[in-house]
Amino acid sequence: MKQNDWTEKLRDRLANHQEAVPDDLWDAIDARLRPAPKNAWPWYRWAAAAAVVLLLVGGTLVLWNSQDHDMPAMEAEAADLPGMDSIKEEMNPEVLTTESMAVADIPITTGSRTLVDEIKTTVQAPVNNDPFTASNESFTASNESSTANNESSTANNESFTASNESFTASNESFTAGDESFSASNEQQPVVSPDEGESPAVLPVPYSTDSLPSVPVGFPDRHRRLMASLYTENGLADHNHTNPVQMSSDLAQRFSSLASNNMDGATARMQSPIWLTDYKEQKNHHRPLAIGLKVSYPFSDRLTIMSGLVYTRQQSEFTNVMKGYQTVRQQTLHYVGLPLSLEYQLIGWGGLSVYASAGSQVDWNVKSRMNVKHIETDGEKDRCQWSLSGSVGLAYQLTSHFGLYAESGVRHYFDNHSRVNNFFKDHPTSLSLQVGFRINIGQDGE
Amino acid sequence: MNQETELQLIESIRSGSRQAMRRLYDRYSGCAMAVALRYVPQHYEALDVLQDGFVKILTTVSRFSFRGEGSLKAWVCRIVANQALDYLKERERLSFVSDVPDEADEEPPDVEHIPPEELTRLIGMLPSGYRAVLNMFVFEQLSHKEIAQRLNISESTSASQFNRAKKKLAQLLKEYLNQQEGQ
Repeated sequence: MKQNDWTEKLRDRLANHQEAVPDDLWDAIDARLRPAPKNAWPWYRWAAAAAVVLLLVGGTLVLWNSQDHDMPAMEAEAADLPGMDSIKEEMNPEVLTTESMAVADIPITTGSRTLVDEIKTTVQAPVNNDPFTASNESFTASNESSTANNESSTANNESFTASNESFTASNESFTAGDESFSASNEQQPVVSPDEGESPAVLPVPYSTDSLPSVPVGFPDRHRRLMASLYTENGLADHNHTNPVQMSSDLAQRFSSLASNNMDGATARMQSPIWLTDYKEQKNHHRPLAIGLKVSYPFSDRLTIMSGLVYTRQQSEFTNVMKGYQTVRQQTLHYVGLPLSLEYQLIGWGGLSVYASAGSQVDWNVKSRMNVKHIETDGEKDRCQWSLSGSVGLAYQLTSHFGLYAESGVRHYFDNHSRVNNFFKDHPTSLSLQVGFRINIGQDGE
Repeated sequence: MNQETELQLIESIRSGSRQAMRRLYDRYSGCAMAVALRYVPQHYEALDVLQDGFVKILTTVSRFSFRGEGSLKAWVCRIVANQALDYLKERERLSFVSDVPDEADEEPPDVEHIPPEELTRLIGMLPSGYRAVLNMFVFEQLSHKEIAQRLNISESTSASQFNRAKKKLAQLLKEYLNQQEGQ
């Protein structure tokens, strides 16, 4: 025995002493004892995340591939039109070669028409009651134009065109009037050398009116399927300092002391007692987010966007006492799923101004608390929902690449968790998002 | 029905029984709370200590070496006491002052006439350094050498803090008794 004075009795007096414990303390302990899986994400969360990723990737691929299918679809539609078979027969690609089109600089005249021997195909002249005359016109088909036209698409107005009224061939292209018949090089009219001076005028097997119209200049939505990589930052930190009120327990002790006339005590139990030289400070750094979004246009102005975003939010909580301070640093990691609509307000060249609105749900996947360089798991935040609205400026540098910046306001709804963070103390905040967009559709204009 | 022995309780916990953990908590949380309050008089802070302490107890109980009935309780109380000390040190609450009460005397107070909860409350009114050393020396029965190592102070400081703590506590106890007699 180290001491044999009254402290021995003190120890014995308190040996079996017990103090009351709140009923809910076990719940808190039990919650902490729940097996915290090393894999913080149970299987269903992984499944949900995988489903989201598959949806995004799959959707992107489907949309991407659908562009390839549009062209055959259009061709199939055209093939069903009356007279299309006869066009196809005469549009035998085998007879339309660069060689066959090598008729450059050879004038065609009514009286003395000369054609090179290499021309073995026939020119099907447009329907015209007048005999085919080309006295002041020339039919020049260079290798260049032929090659260029071979590359042009079927439904492209820049390809060979022929009119009912006249047929003009230049080094650049065959041009036509308003009632143009758009066709590819496979459809270019051919002049039969057998027709002699007065080539037979064959009826147009295909009416220009019956062709499906292709709107010129309408944005090809597939070419606007975009992926965006961006970073977003709040525009302000949050700093706050609290005075500390004496707890009821301590106030009762002070009351007892006051009744004993001891120094520093006060009996002002009716009003809150604020502790001097003691305060609590908290500093929330602005959240930093990095995201990847895919956008899909509903129309030339309206676009829907979704993706995945990672957000990091850091806070410091400092207890300041006279001469001492303890700092706890909290770091929260979120993974979020944004969904927004974007409406283009102004478009001028490669520059566009747009407004967007949307929502986002963030899951706190990791929480760490650092106290004096000792890091432990912290309490996780609950699912965090937010709404946002913003105005942005985008500039398309190339057909594939553009930059954008947008500023907006975001409101975080109270998720009633105990985790103290930026979202709770600053539920409505301004944000700035900058990033770039990549065209993941096929070649743009 | 005989009460479950500590050994049976430990074996049940080792077999993974959640109910056994709860039984251990129910059996010793009261005395553990009394220990926590002696070191950390603020009730809400003592609850933090108790929570952290029991998490540590229940996650390491499988490594506890049973040394007879009562050793489990002693181990639980020691874990909570260590947790309380760590709590104070983390928050820079341990200050070793030389506040010797005036007219300090060695006449022993009559602790047997003071309720345990009042004894706990009055111990909690000691300065943190006094309180820590007194608790470690009197209740945990550590030597001044062990206390010095634990608190990173010299042995003489530990001894002087204990003597001052004892005098201060004696004064507080006598004041309490005088107050009770006056009523």
